[in-house]
Amino acid sequence: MSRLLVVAGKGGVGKTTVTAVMARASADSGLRVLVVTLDSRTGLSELLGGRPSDGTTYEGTTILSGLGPNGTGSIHLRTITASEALQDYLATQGLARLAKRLVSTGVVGVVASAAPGIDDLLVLGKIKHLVGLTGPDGDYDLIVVDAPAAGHALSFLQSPKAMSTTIRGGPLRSQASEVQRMLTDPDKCRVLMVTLPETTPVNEMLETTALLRDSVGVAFAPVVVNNVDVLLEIESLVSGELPDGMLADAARYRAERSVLHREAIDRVSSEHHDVITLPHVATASMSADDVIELADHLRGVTPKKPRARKSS
Amino acid sequence: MSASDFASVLDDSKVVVCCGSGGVGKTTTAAALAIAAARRGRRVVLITIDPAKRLADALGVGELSNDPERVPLDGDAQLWAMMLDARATFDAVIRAQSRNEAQAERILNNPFYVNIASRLSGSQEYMAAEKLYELANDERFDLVVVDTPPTREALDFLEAPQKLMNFLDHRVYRWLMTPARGGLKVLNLAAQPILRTIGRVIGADVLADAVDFFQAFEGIEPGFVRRAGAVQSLLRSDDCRYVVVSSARRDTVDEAIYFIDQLSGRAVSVAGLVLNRLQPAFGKGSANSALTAARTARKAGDETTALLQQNLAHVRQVAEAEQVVITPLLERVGDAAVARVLQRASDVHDLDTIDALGREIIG
Repeated sequence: MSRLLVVAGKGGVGKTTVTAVMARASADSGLRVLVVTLDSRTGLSELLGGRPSDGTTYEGTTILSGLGPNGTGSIHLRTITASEALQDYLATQGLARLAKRLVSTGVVGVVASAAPGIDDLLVLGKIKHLVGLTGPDGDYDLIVVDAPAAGHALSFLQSPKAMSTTIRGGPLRSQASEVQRMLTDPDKCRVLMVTLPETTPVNEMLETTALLRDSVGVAFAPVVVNNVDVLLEIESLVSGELPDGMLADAARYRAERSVLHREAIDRVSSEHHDVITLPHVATASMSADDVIELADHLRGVTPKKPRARKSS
Repeated sequence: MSASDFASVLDDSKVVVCCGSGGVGKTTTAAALAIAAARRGRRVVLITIDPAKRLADALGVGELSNDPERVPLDGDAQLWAMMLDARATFDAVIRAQSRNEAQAERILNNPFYVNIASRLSGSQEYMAAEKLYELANDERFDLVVVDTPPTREALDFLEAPQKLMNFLDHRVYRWLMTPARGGLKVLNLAAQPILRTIGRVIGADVLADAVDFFQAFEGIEPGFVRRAGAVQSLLRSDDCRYVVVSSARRDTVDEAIYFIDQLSGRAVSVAGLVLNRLQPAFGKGSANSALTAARTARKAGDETTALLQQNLAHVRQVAEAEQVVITPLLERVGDAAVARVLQRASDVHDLDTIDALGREIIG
């Protein structure tokens, strides 16, 4: 049995980075972690330290192992697409032979449009199956899902409920209720919302959180505020006299941002008591090393020696 | 120096499509381009899709609508804006194409239709394209600026009409549409192994709704396909220009490059690139020179200068990393118009700031 963490947030807030950081921090603490993505083009594998092609298949790839104090920590990455989840599902229904034909001719694609959320439900159904696995091949401590971006995350997680109203019977209907039960069991599943320390992303995160709570009934992990650049030292410097020029301009620029970031974090904190902040990284291209550093930060581990930044 | 500029992109086109991945400021950029074009004397209509609330309020498009509302701008700039109601647009297309009211009602009330209209992959994109076509042919406007739905597959927008045509052209559909004798066909259908299987998966009543939908759709299909074809032609014509919006982060740049490659694979080129939220560099020096200055100051016991130089080094480090990341994108867009927009301290969410942003893009 595994616990499930669904990472959700609006496009551009660093959802995939946070997925990688959560996975890495857990594996570094000795947990066996499965990372699930719905899209093989997000660069998750490289963020975790793998090759670009790693984890792009339905079966997936073990990217890291031997992590953590006792070497028990590992990260496995797999990509679960709806059409593969459907074939898989039909096979479990004893329809393996038909499954290939249905999918390859596109028949299912056409008729399945009739049932809203069938794609999402099939993917969630597969995740539920993975959560329930026991034994050496599948017994993960934690499954982290890089969910689709905000609006889509909402329909993704609403799909079991939506399907229950569309489909009035049959195996998918019971699949839908089981997935719904998993999503709403706080001991099994938590949704981790990611946002940036800016007004609009915070507003949208709070809206999505309220909708997810009310319409799906999920429980939440701490909210992660990503890319936080709070610098009290610089803030106090610019409140005094500074000589004109680029030094002062750069300091004011960053101080202004620092103030806005603190205000945004305060707003998140007033609505959610569990808030994690991840620091701003001076890069335009997140790397596996950055992920390790953020994971250490998350675990409260100070790096042994400051690593020199590679210039890309 | 770019061979082209945004002023001519806005002056010489009938449609401007803004594309890019989520979170890059696409909707704001579309609004800024629309205002800029209106300032240049064009009668502009802006189609937004799911804008952030404050931006929607600033534009006066706080609710889904199917009709453009006038945006109050000073001077004689003429701008209208709307927030796309995909479902209402789809309904309007059905009504327009139906033979009579009864046929329209039968389709509009069918659960299968409701699901297609709201959930079929690409239906929001298709309706954005459909609305764009309608407004491009509306005498009130010279230019339509459209924001595209946030999607990883940015081409969905361009392909949506084709996708719908394929959907209606699918052999399952053809097969369902084969003239039936009375109600016999539906009964026979249920006996087909393949449909029995699908019925087992998605439920028999859902399947019955689908069959009913396809039967109700009879006769509409050719008009629908013709319309989709016309929309598609407009999207691929010279009247329609594509502007890619990207931030200077590697993931969004990769997405932008992917999108540009997909477009050029279809012989459509990008007319403009907006690089959004660039980190200002502050001066001409490098991050390293600031870092050296910080060390020197620290040795001399000047902690304030050390901190200031360190801060400058940090800011420049980001700016330098961004330059590296955007280089392949700049190479990819060739002689398209390029605008660099610096990061603002706070969000852009009022008309004045959007207006200023538009002026910054035009240059």
